[in-house]
Amino acid sequence: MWVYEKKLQFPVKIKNPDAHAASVIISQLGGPDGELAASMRYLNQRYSMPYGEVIGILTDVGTEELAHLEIVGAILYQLTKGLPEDEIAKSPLAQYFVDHTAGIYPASAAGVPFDMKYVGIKGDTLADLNEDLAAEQKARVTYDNILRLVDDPDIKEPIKYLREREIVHYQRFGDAIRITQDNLDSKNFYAFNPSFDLGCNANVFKRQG
Amino acid sequence: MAVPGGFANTRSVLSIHPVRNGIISIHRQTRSQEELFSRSLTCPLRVKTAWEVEAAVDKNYYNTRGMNGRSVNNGGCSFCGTRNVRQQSGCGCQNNNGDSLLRKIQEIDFAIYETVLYLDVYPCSSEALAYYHTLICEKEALAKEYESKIGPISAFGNRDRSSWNWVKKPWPWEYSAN
Repeated sequence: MWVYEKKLQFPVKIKNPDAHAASVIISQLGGPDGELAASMRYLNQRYSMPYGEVIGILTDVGTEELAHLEIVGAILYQLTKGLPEDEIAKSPLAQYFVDHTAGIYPASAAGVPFDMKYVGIKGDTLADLNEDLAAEQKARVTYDNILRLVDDPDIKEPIKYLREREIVHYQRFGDAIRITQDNLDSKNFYAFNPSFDLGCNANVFKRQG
Repeated sequence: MAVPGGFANTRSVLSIHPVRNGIISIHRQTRSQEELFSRSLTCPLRVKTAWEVEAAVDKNYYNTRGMNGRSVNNGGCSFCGTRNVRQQSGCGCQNNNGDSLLRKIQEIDFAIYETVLYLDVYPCSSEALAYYHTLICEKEALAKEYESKIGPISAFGNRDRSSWNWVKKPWPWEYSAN
């Protein structure tokens, strides 16, 4: 289960609303490499993982991504609060506004609603962990792109924080792949799915005593 | 046993930071602490701080500018005077309505979360485990103080017997809640 904590993981305090910034940052809410996709990817990949360490990192990173979803939501909320209609009309946010007003709806910057098609869950430890490594890098690039498009330091600070987290998560998933490969039988040269690698499972049982 | 190829040589990152340096300087680890960790880790790994990785990735974002685009004030935060904290508009020190207590909790929770992620994949690190226990001890005291002075952190922590404060205090996405 999950329990909600009534605080952001990183503070968001944006003084000036900005329709242009909101129209690009929304991609990290419901875009292909956004926080919602990240959380759904990790939390739903857990069930087929053979090692406690790997399940643990997927659980905890997947949970942190939900906290990031809320940070992005808070950024969007503050960026659109009190925005004058004429500013919305001349910004790319007008197309979003007509359907959602100032509600926070997970979609990409191009207006495509969130889709689980963005997420890969293969039931194979190495396939899924490699997907996760790529996902963290893609999210990091998206934050880099947002930082190229946004000037206000009030907006940039939480975006920079979120970008840093992608880098740390990438390292942790690299550790998870190392753990997986360390557990594989040496005869499993091409690192097949450890769920079906009997030698690998024998190693785990030996390790656990 | 290592399998050919892959991440056997993955550079590992230990990005635990000293709590008092605050959330703003999350990846600026003190030298002594970094040494403490790298000495004591029993797992075969190369310890690197996330700050070092960050500096290599992009110096411009972190090292040349302070918060709000102002140059970094090495004397510490101009609002609260805390050393090793970069000044920023929302540091909470300028308010006296309990925001700084919230900031302390955010800082310690960040440190705990970093340690949790690290322990997930390095469960044999006794030093990280000891650090984790120091942090949750400190967190418990802070959470108690916050919930009695300001309001519940979770719906399980409404300490006020006469009022359901959970729905009364501002929600985290509000400007005023930060």
